[in-house]
Amino acid sequence: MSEAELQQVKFPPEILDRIAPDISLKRHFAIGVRPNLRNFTEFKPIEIANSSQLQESNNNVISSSIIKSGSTTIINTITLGIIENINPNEEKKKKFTTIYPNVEILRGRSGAPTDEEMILSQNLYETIYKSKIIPSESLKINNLGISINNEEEEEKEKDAKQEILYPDLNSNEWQYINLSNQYNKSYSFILLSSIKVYSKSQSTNSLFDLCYLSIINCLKNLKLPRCYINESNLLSTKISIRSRKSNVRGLINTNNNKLNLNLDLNRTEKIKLNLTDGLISSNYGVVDIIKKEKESESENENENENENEKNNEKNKLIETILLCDLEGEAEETSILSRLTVITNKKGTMNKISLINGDLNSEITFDILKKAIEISQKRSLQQGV
Amino acid sequence: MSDRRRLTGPANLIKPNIPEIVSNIDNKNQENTNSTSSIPSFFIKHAIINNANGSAYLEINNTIIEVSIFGPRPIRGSFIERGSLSVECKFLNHIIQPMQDSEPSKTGMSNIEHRLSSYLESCILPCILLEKYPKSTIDIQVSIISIDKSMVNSKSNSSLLWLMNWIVICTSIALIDSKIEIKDVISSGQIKLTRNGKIKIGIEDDEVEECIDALISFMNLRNDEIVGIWLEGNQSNLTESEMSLIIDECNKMSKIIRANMNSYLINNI
Repeated sequence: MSEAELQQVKFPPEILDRIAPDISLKRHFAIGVRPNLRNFTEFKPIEIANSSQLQESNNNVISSSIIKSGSTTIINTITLGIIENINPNEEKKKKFTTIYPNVEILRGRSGAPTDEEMILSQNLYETIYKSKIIPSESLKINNLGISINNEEEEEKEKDAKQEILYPDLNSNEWQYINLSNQYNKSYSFILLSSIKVYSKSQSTNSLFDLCYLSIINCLKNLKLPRCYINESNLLSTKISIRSRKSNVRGLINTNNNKLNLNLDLNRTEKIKLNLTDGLISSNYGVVDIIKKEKESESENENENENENEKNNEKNKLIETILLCDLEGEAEETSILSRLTVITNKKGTMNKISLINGDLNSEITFDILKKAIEISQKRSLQQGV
Repeated sequence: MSDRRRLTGPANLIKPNIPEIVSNIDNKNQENTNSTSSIPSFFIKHAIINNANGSAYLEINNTIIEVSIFGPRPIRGSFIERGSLSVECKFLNHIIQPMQDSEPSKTGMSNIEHRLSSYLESCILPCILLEKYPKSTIDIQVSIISIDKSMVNSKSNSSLLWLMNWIVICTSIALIDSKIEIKDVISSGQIKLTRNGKIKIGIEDDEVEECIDALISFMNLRNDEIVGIWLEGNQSNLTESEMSLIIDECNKMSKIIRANMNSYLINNI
């Protein structure tokens, strides 16, 4: 009869990462590497594509950016919405505006957005707003044009040739135009950004960095088109009828399709931004690692076990270290003290977020200083 | 109803109208592909997504498709004997979807996405050995990153079938990458049969005359079994001989694409 033996189970690193992230992390640190095989203060390389294919093939996309970091790919496209400034005085108080991001992470399930997606979107929205990058004035539609059908010239043809007149470009013709009420309203653009993340391997913080970079990259290339109203629309009156099918009560949106974008590339204008060069967002995790254990000097056999353990504790050399650009499951779940710093080339900071999540490895001033120094170096080298 | 989970902008947001531009450049490109009446070259790459079980990427002209397959994953709940399959085709948010009159909602799939998904599902169902995967699901997610510009404006069906054709091919590669057991690789052919019996390949939108657009998917190494047929156009007068012509022509095209896929698979997997 052979004895039943308890066999030792062995797990490959990626499975251990998942079932016991803390152990996996400790073992990696013990041999001096991170689970993703990067150095402690090494960032994952980022590639930024400079293709404008998405803009060219989609009329509604005015700026786009594709960023790759490892296998993680981020596709960011910016489309426009228009909003009527109903209360101009109130609008003036708001000096800066933001972008409306919508982050979607491919995860193999459909349905409502996850917490992570919502947090990322909200975080991007607020960060851009608070860092005062986009002045409200820059998104205001200043010279609203009017398209006029030249009926006299081509009476017979159905699609009479359209001409678009702008107050600043066609000042001669402009004085003959009767402006209606519709024209006197003030409008502003709204930037809508849709971000799709493929093959996510980074932590949420790193993903924020990539999304932030992609938005900044988009904003840098952003050119706003001109906008015009159709003359025919100006004259038409619309009566709102309450239909049985729709639940909308009161006024039906009468502004529908009245504003048109002029896609003429020669007529676009670069957006005026408050951007400083070299913006980049960097994230860090703070964690304790056990350096080497000192060899105990006295190996007294008489000492009881408890004391032995105490000695061991003392002999452990604990060091708090900074990890750059968190990635992978082990780091995501077991490193809870986090830092995010957005810096620029000027040497100032746009944002610091600090979460002291782990009581054992708190963020000290030295650590914070080190993180800022690394971020600034990175800004000079890699910032956009 | 406003979507509280997403940042969709202020409540009184107006969507500006984007006038259609008649571009001459695109049409010229089209003519080139039509005159040779052959399949334009396409680019495939597999295993591009780390957290999916299988994935593939396909580019042809301006059409870009990405397919990722998740599964087989265990399901919760009671035991089922065969695996269940779910297919979801989605356009990226910025794409103005073809043949879409109303504004697509951000939640759920639009009309066109439903049609693409159900065709893909019907093609793949007979191909996967679902009985090998009890108590599990296989999720196929297709994202259409870019479509040909001509497709946005065109009202013809051929462009939709053209897109569908490449979705099927991209999915087949992703299925192989996922190592899910299948009977054969699916490939398909898409043609246009005009009233006077001419066969055309590729997208054409200047075509006004009455014609039938056909997309037929095959398992070419399994006795050319047909796994999906999608016909558009007036089919009331479709004769048997015309139908067999359509099938033959689609099969020819499918075999050419299959040969390309095979050589890619041999060299890269």
